[in-house]
Amino acid sequence: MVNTICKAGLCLSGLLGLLAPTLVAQESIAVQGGRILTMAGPAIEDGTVLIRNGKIAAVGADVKIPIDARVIDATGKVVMPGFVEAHSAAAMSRSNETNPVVPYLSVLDTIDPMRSYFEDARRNGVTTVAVVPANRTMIGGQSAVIKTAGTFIDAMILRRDAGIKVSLEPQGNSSRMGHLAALRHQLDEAKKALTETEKTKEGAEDDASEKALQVALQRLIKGEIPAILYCDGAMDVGPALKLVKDYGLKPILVLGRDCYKAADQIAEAGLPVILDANLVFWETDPRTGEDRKIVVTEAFRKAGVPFTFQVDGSNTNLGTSYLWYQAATAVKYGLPRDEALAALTIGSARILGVDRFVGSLEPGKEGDLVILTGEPLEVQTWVDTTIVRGEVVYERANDRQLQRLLDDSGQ
Amino acid sequence: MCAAFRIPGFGVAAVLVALSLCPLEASESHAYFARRIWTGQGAAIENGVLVVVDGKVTVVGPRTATSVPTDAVRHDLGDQVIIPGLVVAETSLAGGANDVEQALTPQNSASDGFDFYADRTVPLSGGVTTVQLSPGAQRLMPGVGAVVKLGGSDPEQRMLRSHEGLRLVLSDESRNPPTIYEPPVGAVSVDRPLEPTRPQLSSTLGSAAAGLRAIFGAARRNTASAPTNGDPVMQALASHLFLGGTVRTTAHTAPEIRLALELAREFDLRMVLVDPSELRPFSAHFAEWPQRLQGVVFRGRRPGRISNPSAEQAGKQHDPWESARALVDAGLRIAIRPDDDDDLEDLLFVAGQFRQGDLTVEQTLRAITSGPAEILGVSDRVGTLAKGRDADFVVLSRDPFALHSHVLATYVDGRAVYRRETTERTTVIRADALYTGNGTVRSDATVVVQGKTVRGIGDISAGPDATIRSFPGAVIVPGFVDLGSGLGVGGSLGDEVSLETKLGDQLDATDPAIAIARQSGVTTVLFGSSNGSATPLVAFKLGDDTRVVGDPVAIRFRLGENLRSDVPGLERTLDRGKAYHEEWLRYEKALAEYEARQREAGPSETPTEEKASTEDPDQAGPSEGEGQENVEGRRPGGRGTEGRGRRPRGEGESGDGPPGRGRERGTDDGDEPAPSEEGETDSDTKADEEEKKDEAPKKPQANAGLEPYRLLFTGQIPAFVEARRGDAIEAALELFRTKHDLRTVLIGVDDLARFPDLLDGHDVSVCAGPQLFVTRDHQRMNLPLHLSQAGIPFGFQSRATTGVRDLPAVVQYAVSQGLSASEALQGLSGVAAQVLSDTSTFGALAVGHDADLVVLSGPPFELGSQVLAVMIDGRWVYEKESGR
Repeated sequence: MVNTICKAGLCLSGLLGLLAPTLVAQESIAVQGGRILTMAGPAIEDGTVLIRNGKIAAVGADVKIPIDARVIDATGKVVMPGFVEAHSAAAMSRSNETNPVVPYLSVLDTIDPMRSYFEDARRNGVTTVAVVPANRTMIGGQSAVIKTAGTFIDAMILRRDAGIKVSLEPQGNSSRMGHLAALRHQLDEAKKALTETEKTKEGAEDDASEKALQVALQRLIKGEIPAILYCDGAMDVGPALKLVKDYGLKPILVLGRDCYKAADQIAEAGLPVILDANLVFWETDPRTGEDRKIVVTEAFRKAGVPFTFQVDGSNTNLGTSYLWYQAATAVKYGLPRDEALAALTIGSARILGVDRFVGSLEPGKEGDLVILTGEPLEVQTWVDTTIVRGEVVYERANDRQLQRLLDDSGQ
Repeated sequence: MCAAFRIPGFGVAAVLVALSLCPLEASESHAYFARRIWTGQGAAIENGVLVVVDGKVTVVGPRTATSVPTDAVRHDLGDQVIIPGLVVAETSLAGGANDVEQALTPQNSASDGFDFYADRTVPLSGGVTTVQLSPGAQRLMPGVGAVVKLGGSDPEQRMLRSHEGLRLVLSDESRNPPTIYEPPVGAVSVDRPLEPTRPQLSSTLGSAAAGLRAIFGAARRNTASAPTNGDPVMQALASHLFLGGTVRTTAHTAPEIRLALELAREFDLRMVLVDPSELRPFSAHFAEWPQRLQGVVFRGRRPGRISNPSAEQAGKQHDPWESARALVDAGLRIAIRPDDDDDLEDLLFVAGQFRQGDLTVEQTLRAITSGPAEILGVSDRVGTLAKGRDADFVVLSRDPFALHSHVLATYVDGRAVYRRETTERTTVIRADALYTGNGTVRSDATVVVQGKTVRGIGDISAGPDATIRSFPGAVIVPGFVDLGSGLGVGGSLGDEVSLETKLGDQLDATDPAIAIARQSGVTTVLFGSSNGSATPLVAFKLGDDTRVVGDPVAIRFRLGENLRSDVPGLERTLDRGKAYHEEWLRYEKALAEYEARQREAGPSETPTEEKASTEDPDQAGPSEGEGQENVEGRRPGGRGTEGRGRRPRGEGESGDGPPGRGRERGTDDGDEPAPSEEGETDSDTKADEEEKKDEAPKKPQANAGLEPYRLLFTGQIPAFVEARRGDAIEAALELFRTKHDLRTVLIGVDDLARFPDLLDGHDVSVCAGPQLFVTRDHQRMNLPLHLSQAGIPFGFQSRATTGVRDLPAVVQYAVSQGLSASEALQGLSGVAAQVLSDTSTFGALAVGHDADLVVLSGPPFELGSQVLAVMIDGRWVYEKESGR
């Protein structure tokens, strides 16, 4: 697996090298004077983050600032890595495919960088997002990890083959048994085709799209692409883990809220998870009629399962700002604040396999950071500035929409 | 593989979890001694013992001939009986009733549809521990079943077989598949030709037979030669048969059964016959069946249901147990399953019905334990109690299928997954000393609490399932009584409260002050308005449900600053109350005499009397008041019904008194006519109608505002009289004691500091507090100490809400200044309750009393003593450890 990431990394750096002259900001930026939460060690008081050529060049208390650097004063503010949203279909023009088996499609073809989603993401400090098809397609398209700033999608890509979405939730009239049987059948076919191609060293299929399907599925069962497995209920967790075992998948678990019941089973499997958007809800015992408050984050924290958050499926229209609220909710119910912040940054990056590039403020990583007006997860704190790949992509002072909103409310 | 994913902070947690999952603890042994143990095979073991080590059975045998490991925890079940956990040979718990569209889906597995996280308490409560899961019900070949346990935590351990039998449904249920099957079409990214629609199997039994023969034939050829060309149906079927999987066939009628047997013979299938009803035609061949069938699963009748078939159907109906005995005698394995998943909890009853078919107890039990376990191929794990099997067993109150035998507990892998809740929970509390609250101290400090009541004190035995709480070195004292608190409605009552008000209806159990107040051990409080005179007091428990123990528990009067007006007003009030009380006394006496006369007159009178009252339901009190609905609640000013319910007869009349009746304080009350006058006019017409030789006495009109006086004048409740100055105290004694001889409790007798002898020779009690030290003319007096020396019973009050908590500390100060600890404790418990009533069930700790108690770390009122726990009505409401 490490190999895979390295390969992906190599491809990527090749790509970056090619495009660098046109796409990456040349100037150096020094963010100076703030309290720096690096997510890779203790906080640095009154520190400096130096970004050069789109990458972090230095982080520390005594960083020498080059003469040509643009200096951003963050005195009294908090500097931390840009948030990494681990699972979102909001950037896609349509989140689900009707055809149940489409692993050869790529979300990159559906993303419009001009969507308001991206502007909002930058406003809320999200600098990296994994665009993943939603949960209604049995074998959905290929996901990608992209930056939230840019005009052309090709320039925004961080990782192209971030995973193939596989949903264990039956759709339409099919029962769970039928759904799983069909899913296994697809994987079996791919496995069989794989052994056959290995034998003959050449694909015998004439149908080009059929071949694309097989290639995608074969990459899935060879572990070249992670399987992003959606479990709707706790009862889906067992079959999902069995699929992982039987077909050698590289899993990323995306959970429905009732999956908290299977927290111990997931802990035993040693997998990190992406939680449902609803973290706190009430459940009625069908037998006694008693109401119980369920705090999903606590169930997983107690079981020792690393997790991160997602916004999709929440009953709010808060968009990416909801991540902030979710992390704060987790802290309210007992998650240490540092772990909640890690979940939003380096934790998500690890789950997505992009932690070598984003998720913390360390030299060599991409120059993504947010400057907050105060401590994170507080109600009164605003995102002041967002920087993506060394470019200032959001400033609150110039946020007309926000200003209009606040003016209207009489503030 | 996930090292790259792991967040460092979580890594530690993950390691910890991994460690805790390892079986680090030493092996766990339990021995269960029972009157009888049915192992699921052979006769029952009398006086048996079942030894369970780490969730597996190690030994089962007679008590005398079995060696029990010395480290085993011993459980004596007394007369109870142990049977194996029940096994059900077919259920739809995997959502099997939700069929897919296709008729043939052998690739579907029921194990995919089972929710291991759903609550299974209901079937477990019926003793069912293992079930088969059916993949579907209304298609010809819906898929492959699975076998799971209903209890246990690890899904992998609970899955006994993920690949059980392939199901065939030859009966009517599968005759109606979706007539046309259309493959999914629409705008897809892959070009696929539209497939033609095709009909599905099977609309008749004949087409089912032909189709199945073709498919099984092809599958058999496939297992023999090359694999299938990617057809998932053929693939799944071939591999199932190749692996020697069983085929379970649902067949009700004789033709269906015949087809099943034929298929088994032609294709050499390992077949289980499910739900056969027309077995009689085959009875001559039963002897050959053990070679041809793995077993037969019978479907029981739904318990407690009336089926109502047409006469034609009823004529053809067979009892499900008709051929069961014959099959057993032929040597076939049989299983009994309930007709519906809703009946799983009643499996013992459903199977018990089969005893009508001449099955013995042992044979019937086998059909729900080892029989289905063998049919399902899981008999190496479950179905019998024998060495090496999973410790899945059920504790019954009596032998299986005996009348009134019920499941007491169900165990899976040696752990109790269900226990019958006994309504009366027993708790045993042990400490080093016990103060009863009546002046006695006992060293055998064990209290047995059953439900809400103290069942025993001292060295007595409790049931085996009792919860035992030991407090080494601690002291048990009764729950304390606060004779006057501000707790009750979550605030102040404000205005004066009239006597007809039922304060008990207005209590607010959610008041957060209650939880604070009881932390110091106060368990019962009195509550009422502190304004006005002649207002009710209610007593209630500080438990989570604020149980009312007296409403009213006393009437509060006040002799204030202006005695010149207060005394005559109070006199009038009492006189009126007394008049009301005496009127009822006269009526009751007259009624008793009348009834005696009626009895003497002979039984002939009674029928007409009864007839009259049934014919005319409006007929009021004059005759027997029974059968009269209480209409008092409709009265505009009345609050609810009479709380005590001592006099059912007293409530028959519907009075239409003014709403404000009884609200008067004594100063403004007019000379109201006696209530009886109004009652007379009311019932005049009726009385005229039934002019009889011997007329029954007329019932006086009930008046909720005066009812409490009847309790007061019969001595059932006391008068709480607030009198501070010396002359007020004297007036109170004169009025309440000398004139009316009422049970009297004086509040606020501050002037005792000036006139210490004021109460001497009077039979009164005192409610002291909130200030226990009164200063008059520079004389400081320890009031309780003085009362104790004068021989006057006393209790305490706090007049506070959360401050109720401080009441024991205030008393502690009085103790530190000379009051004896024993008397102080009695004032807080036994004596306080006696002051209120002779029949209080709270206060002192005694057998039959309410289980209100406080566990202290040391003797009461010692400065170092802390409250460790507080129990109210048998429930712990505060524990120092948990800080609840």
